[in-house]
Amino acid sequence: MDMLSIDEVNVESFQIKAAAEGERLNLRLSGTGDMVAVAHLKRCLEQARASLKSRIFTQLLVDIRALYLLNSSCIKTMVHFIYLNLEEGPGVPIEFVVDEKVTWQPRALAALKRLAPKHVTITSKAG
Amino acid sequence: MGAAGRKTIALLFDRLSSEYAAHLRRSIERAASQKGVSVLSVVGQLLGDVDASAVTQNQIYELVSPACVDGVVVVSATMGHYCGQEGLLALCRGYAPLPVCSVGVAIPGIPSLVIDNHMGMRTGVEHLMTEHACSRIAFIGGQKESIESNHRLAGYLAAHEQLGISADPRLVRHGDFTVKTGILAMRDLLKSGVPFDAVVAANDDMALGALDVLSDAGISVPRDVIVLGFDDINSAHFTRPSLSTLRQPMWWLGERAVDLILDQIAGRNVPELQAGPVDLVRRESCGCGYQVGVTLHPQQKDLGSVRDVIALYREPLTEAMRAAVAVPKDTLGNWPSQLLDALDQEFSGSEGRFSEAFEEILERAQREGASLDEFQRVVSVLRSEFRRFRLEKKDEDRYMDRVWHNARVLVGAASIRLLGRQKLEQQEVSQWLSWVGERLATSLSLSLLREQLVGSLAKLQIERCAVSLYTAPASKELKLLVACTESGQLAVAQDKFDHHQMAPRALFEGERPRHFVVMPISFETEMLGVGVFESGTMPTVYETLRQQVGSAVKGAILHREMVAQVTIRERLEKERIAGEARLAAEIQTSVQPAVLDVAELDLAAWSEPAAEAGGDYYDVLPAREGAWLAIGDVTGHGLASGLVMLMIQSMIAGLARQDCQLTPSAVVSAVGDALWDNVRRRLKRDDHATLTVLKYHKNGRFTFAGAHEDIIVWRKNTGKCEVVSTTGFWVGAVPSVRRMTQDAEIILELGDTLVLHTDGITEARNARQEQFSEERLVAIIESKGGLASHLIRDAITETVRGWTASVDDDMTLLVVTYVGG
Repeated sequence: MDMLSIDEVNVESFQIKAAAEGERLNLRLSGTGDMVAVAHLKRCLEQARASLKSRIFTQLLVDIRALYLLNSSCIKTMVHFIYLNLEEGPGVPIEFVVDEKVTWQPRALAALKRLAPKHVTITSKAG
Repeated sequence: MGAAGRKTIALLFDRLSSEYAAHLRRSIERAASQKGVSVLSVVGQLLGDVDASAVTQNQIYELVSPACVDGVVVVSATMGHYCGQEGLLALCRGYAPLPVCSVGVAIPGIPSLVIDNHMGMRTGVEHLMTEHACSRIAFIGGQKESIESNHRLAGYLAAHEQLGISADPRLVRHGDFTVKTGILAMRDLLKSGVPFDAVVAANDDMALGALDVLSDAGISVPRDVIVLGFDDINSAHFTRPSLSTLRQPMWWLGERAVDLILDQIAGRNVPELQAGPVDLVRRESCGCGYQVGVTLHPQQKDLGSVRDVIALYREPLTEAMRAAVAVPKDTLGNWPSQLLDALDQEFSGSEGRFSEAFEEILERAQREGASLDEFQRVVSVLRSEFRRFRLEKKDEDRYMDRVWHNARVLVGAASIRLLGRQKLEQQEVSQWLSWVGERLATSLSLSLLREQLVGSLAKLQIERCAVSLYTAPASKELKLLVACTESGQLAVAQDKFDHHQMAPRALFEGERPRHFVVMPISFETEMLGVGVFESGTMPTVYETLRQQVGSAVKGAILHREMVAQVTIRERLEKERIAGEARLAAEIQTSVQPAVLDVAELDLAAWSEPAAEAGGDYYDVLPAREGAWLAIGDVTGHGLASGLVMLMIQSMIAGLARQDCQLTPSAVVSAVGDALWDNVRRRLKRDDHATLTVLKYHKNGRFTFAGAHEDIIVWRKNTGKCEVVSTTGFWVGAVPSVRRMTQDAEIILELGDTLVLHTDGITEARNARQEQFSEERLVAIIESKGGLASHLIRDAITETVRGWTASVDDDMTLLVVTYVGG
């Protein structure tokens, strides 16, 4: 665990890099978000939530542009994270960055915005 | 013939690490080597010890047989502490027809070598009474069953009787011949408050323990209390004060034991009982200091020079010097004579010759394992004897004192060097043992253990060894785990052999006699195998190694069993999962609509569960005014997902049939509420599902609600597809989806086709991990638009199956074409 208190994930098929940018915590996901990735994503988001709750950061950015796949179990993990952020705090804004050329990405995350429209934004950017 | 093709003697011990055992083993191995005989020191525990672990280890004694040895020496002196003479006799008889000899205890019918325990102890106690005026002498004996201890106690009592001093029974204690029990007995004696002026112990180890306690209590030895031991072990020389004791004739015992066996093998008659002498060794703990040899002349005598004394008294001087050092006669050659020659040359003008010769003898003595300390006695003998002569050459007196002084310095320096070297060796061995222990403890397979043993034993200076394990519990067959010689690992044609053989025969072969230590490889009460290690390193190495190998073998076996258990459990788990998957697939397919028959609509469906079935769901429920269509996907896989899917199916079917006024959003919201309650609160799971419910109202009109995959609508008039996003949220992911769930509408024109699918289709991956994608799905639909629903379905399924190598997720497809009335 680095000074961000978040373990970087670097398994064969899935990676998460964490970085601080001012008061914002950036998580960059890459690889394949399949069943192998679920446990890693869950632990990373739990650590991120702990950092957010302790007010080390006040915003979260999740960049999924380098993901080939985000299966329903990974999305479920994100749903749980957003739900807890909303219901139990800290209620920080979460921005998901998707690749404008990869159509499944905004579609997969659309429901997350519906879950917490005031807290979740989805931004399309070049990959 | 023994296993080595030469005569081999088994030497049976209960432990290696006592000084008595080490000394006796060394003397027997030495005597055997001189006669071209090999020795297998077979080490178990005390006979008759009821401790379960000891009983297990004692199985090693049963392996001694004509298959590996030609005769057996039983060290009864220590082995019989518990079982007594009867147990020893039974053991010895069990080896018939092999020649047997007993060392330490006289066993009827068995050639026995004993020391005169009774007379030895009596002499010692009488010495304390007559020369030190002791009258209240405490006795610390061994186990009450010990024959040797009882003989020594009898000697103690006989001395009292002889000198008319009454023995106080309150001053008798019993230990088990260890330092620890000597400490306990001494503490108990002090605590009792019964006065005593001397303590005699049945062996040196217990006497050393008593010395420690007295020192801690501030009682001065020998000023306040005199202490006397028995055996004359090495440590007795180095304690402060040095321990006065009764010396066992260890070299005599070793030589005679080998001769007794060889004589029996040769068919010669042997005496049933031979007793070796016990010498009183006077050191500081009785107040005598060093005993100073024989006296050539009680009164002083006039003589010309040192050379005259040597010439006249060479023989008695030689004997006096020899008596001062406890090594066999032939061990160091004729060293007293060499020393006298050097002394003669020293006084003929060759200055330094005596020191030179003395140093050379000390080096030899050190190599032979003799106690260098005893050479101080040699100097004392010479000094004492030469002082009895008044020499005409007066200057020789002063010169002689310088010679003795130099000799004492040499002994001191050699002793310190030896102690330093021994300490270094001990440290090195201790470090290697620790290193070996770590490696063996982490060898979780027998093959890894084999590799580690090969590397480890060389570090412990054990060139030849074999470790073999029983092929099954209670088996009599051993299977070789590893065998090494100085040339490397030993290859053997037969790696399985009868356990009486102990090790592959090749291990014992060679041009010279080799001596081995044979030990049980056991763990607690389980006899795992036999270890045979070449003799030559410190006794503690073998005992530690035995425990380390035993634990490591047990660990490796347990690990192997655990892996087997885990494999079985994994297989059962896989079978369970496969069973669940089959059940889930059955649930999934069994609740699918049997007939797709809705007025105005041409319907075709396809659903293929993956190997680990997830929870894909679709349904078509005809209603009075149209129909209900639904499609969804429960997250996760297996039976639980299948059950959640079944819940959704049941709820929708129930709701759709009950109230035709319900809207899709109401159905989705109701399902969402119920699912949260059922799954989260009751099942304590976190499954949720994508779900879109469509209500068909006739004339091509659909209303829908709920979040699932996009709905693809092919328009006949454009030949293109429209992608309609589903809104809302997943059911079961949050307590309620009502706020996020709204109805929307799709109107199909005649010939238009609506396609519902699950993500198993769009996320199906090819060998390059590319997803099939919604774009490819749309392209197929557009290419087949206008065809009957089942043809569109078939085109899609065929393409998707060709795309993906393996089905990772359930795939479901529902194709609906508005064909009108």
